Amino acid sequence: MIDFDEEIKKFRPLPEIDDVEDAVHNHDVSDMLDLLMAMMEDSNR
Amino acid sequence: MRCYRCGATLSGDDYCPSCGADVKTYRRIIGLSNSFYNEGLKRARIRDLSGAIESLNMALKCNKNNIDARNLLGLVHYEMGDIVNALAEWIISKSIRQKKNIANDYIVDVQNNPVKLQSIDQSIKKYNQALMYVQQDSVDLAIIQLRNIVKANPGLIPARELLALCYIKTEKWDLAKRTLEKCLLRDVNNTTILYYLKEVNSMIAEMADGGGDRRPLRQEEAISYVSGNEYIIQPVLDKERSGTSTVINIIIGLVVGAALMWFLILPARIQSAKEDVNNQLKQVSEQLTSKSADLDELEKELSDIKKSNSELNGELDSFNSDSGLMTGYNAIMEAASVYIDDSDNAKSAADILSTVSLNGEGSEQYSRLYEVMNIKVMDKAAQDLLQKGKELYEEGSYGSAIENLESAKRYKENAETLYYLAMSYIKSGNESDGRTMLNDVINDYPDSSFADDAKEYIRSSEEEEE
Repeated sequence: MIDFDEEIKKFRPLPEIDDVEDAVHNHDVSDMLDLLMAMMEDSNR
Repeated sequence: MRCYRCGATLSGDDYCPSCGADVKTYRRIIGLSNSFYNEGLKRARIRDLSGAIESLNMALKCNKNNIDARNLLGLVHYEMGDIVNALAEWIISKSIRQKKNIANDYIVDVQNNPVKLQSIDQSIKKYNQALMYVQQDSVDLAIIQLRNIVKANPGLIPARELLALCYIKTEKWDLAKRTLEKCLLRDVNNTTILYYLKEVNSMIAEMADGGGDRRPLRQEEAISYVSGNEYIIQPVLDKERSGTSTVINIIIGLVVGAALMWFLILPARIQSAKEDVNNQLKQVSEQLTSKSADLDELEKELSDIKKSNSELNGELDSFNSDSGLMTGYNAIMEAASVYIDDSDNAKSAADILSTVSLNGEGSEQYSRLYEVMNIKVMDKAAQDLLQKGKELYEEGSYGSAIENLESAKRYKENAETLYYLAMSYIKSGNESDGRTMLNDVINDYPDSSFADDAKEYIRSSEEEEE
């Protein structure tokens, strides 16, 4: 049986058009390569 | 593929030909990113939008510079109605590669359609408001809001998901099922939707199972359940009605309807019809009265016209009669014409003129003409006839002389005419008329020589008688 209250918690407000700038700014653009580079720099030190 | 360190183009080896960096792991990560992208592309093609988002996110987690994956991710977000995340991905893609990037076209398309953009923004705002309603336990309000959103923007999948959840909360299983099925058409493998649909189907199956576990819906007039291959929706009733009661109800309905007609509708209709008839009668009566008045007036007018016509005819007859004015005019004109043609033939003109008697009628011109003609013609005619009479008297033709002298006397009487006429009578044997005329000469013309002659004749004839 569906638990309505639990399911509702999964719903988040959608960002509006005015929030595009914030969305771009807060976008996480790190990837595995960045992690790999960081790991390699740490190992070289 | 380029080296992550120096940017040189890599060959098939595990080392960069330029800087010698170890690119083996790098190449594997890039390959992994590309394979995630391929998977995301496959899923997007079969409209597994949720699955495509997962795969493309993984592709970008491996390689943030995977432009194709980022562009496709933006496209999938756009298709699901999440325009903000779509624009974010395209903007980031454009910042990574500014030229020869389809993200530029996507952004321009969105910017060039401000109406749709505004509509989507409004839908997003309403969705957020509906979510707030649900969180405040105003599910009915949220349902109304979400239905409007779905109608305006069918592509906003989170709105449909929330609407389905609200239907489930209010136990409107059939509506929930329909909403979820429509969601699946847009996002075939959405796990949330599939989960809800599974629950809804199970609830529907439970209700259809032997009819025992049927749950009446709140604020709902019908119960719906699946029975075999059929989806049945029926109203909530305590007991089934038999055919007999249905027929009885129909008959009662007919009787009540007929009674209503008879007592309520029919009298009003009859009254209305009567009023119409009365109005028409009144109009006809008014018209008839008016027509009668017109007829009387016309008859009076006709009578006047007839009277006037008869008067005019009488006048015309009098004009045209022998003693009428027209006859008189014609006689005057004829006399004038005869006299003008032959002024010596005054007698003919005088004969014609003697028939005229204007009696004070006629125009002034005709009266003057008549007087002039009278003077000229009558004088001339009398003179001619006197002369002729005297000649005949001298010849001894007393009868003819009397005739001419009588005409002369008629035209213009004078002493000479009267004397010779008297003498013609005496000489023709009519002594008494002759003597009477001689006395007229003596009495009427005492100063004329013919009076003396008359006296002399009378004296001499008296002496002869003695």
